[in-house]
Amino acid sequence: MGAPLRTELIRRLVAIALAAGAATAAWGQGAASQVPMLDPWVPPEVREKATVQGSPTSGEALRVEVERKLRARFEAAAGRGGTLSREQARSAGLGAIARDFEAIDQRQSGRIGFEDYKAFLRSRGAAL
Amino acid sequence: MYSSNPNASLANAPEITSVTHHSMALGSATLDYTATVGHLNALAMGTGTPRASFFYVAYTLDGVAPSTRPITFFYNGGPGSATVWLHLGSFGPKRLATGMPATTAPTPYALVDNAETLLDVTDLVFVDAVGAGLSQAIAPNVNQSFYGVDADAQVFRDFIMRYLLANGRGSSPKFLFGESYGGPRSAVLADLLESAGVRLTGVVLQSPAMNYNNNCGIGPMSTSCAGQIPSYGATAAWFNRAQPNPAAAEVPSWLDGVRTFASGEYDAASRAFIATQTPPPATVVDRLVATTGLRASAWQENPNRGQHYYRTNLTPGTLHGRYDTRVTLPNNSPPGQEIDPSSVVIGSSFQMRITEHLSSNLHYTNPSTYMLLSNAIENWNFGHDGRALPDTIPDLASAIAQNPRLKVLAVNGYHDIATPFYTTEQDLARLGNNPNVRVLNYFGGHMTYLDDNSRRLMKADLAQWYGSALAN
Repeated sequence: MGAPLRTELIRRLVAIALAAGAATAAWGQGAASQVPMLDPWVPPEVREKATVQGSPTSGEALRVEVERKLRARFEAAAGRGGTLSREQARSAGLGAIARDFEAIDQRQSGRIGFEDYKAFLRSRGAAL
Repeated sequence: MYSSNPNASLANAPEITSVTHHSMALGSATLDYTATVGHLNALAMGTGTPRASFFYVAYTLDGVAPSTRPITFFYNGGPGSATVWLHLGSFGPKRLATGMPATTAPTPYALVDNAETLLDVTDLVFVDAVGAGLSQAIAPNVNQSFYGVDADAQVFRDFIMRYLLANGRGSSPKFLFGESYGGPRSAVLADLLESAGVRLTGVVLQSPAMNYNNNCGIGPMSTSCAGQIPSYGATAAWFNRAQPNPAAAEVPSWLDGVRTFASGEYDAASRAFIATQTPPPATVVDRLVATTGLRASAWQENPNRGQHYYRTNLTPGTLHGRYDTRVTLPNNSPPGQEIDPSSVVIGSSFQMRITEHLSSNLHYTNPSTYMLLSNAIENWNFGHDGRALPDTIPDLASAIAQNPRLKVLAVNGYHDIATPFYTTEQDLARLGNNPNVRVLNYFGGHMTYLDDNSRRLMKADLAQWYGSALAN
């Protein structure tokens, strides 16, 4: 398991780093001006609360997770099951959808739903 | 004054830059380039309100059309680290001659012209995360506002979009190059950029921690150390401690068998021990001893040995590095507070030389201290997409779903036990059989580029990879 580093130790090491930066005159060959790098690192209290949640997703489970992410972002702008105009997509920060809007809007209706977007991504090669 | 304090913010954030012109020889060619150093503010998407003032150093090749010239954004990890390691260690026009893994190079290391710079391939922008270097939040935000997986990636997105707009680089082929925590940052950031309409050409993951839940040094306490075992094997082989010990040239193929053992018999034994304290079978212990060089009793007592145990027990009286196990020092540390030899020997030179480089060579002056490391890591919100610790493979998969031509290259060091190469291989294997996703491993530690021989190999591989990405 990882080093039992404590917050206090980190603070102390960061303080050393600060001192090293401020006082280059104190430069020496020794280890007094160590700049610690701990990354990646997670505070023990955070690690201890975390649990392993099954196996990492791959295949169909990962595809479902990706679709959930994309759908959540779309629906944050469109509402659940809702549709977007190009201008709504743009003002919501969904620049890629605004850019590709005409290709996504196969019905030329001026509005697209998540399934339209998903079908567009699939047509471009996405494994969705 | 710029500050890395979590509660610090700037009342106003002037975008002051220093622009200098330089020239260097690269092989038989001469590269004339411009260095631009200073601040550029990330603007909130939608409102355009400045939220954070990013410090960056950009090296751009002169005499080429910016619209078709590739551009790469580099950042280190931590979280909380400045981008000094990539800036002065890897593929910028100058680098520090560390001579790794030897520790005999005179310190402070000399800053030399970099024969392996990527400037002949791409423009290079080295940018510091909020709270590091000279990057800081703008009021009413404070640095802490961006100390989280999602908030950090969002503000990086906003910086990159601002940079591209401010510099007329909207149509340039765009690349990300993140190290360590910069790897998961790249995954989340790539997803956000693609969604925002910024099409990326490629992402380089340098020794990334893509899924914290699959690394027994940082993941939940019950995480199997299977991903570490091949790195222990590479370490043992380096020190002639494997039985039988493979010749250096044979190590990459020898590690194939170690991978199979690690994900098979070892992982089963490790998980059984975690779940029910079941002792490992003798065959597993024998193989661990022969592979890792660590004594049998250590493995019998606990087969799930993490990096700290390994590097402090492999060689009595000696500490091995966490970032690069090849680097050693006598163990004079109090138990539990062991230093990382591969980190402490380089840190001071980078701190001193970045300050000097910014002022002397790039004519950028600022009364504030360039902060190599903030304490962001203590205050970070690691939560992401419903998990307490980030798994960013779904983010990378989402970026690829939005841009199926996106090229992804992971580069790792065999002797890095902070973010082991086999862990990265396992993580990226989740993306399935995608020819646009590659993993390359080199002799070396977390910062493979510090190794002179590996940096030469990396430059050649990266130049080829950039070429194929641009043709993709």
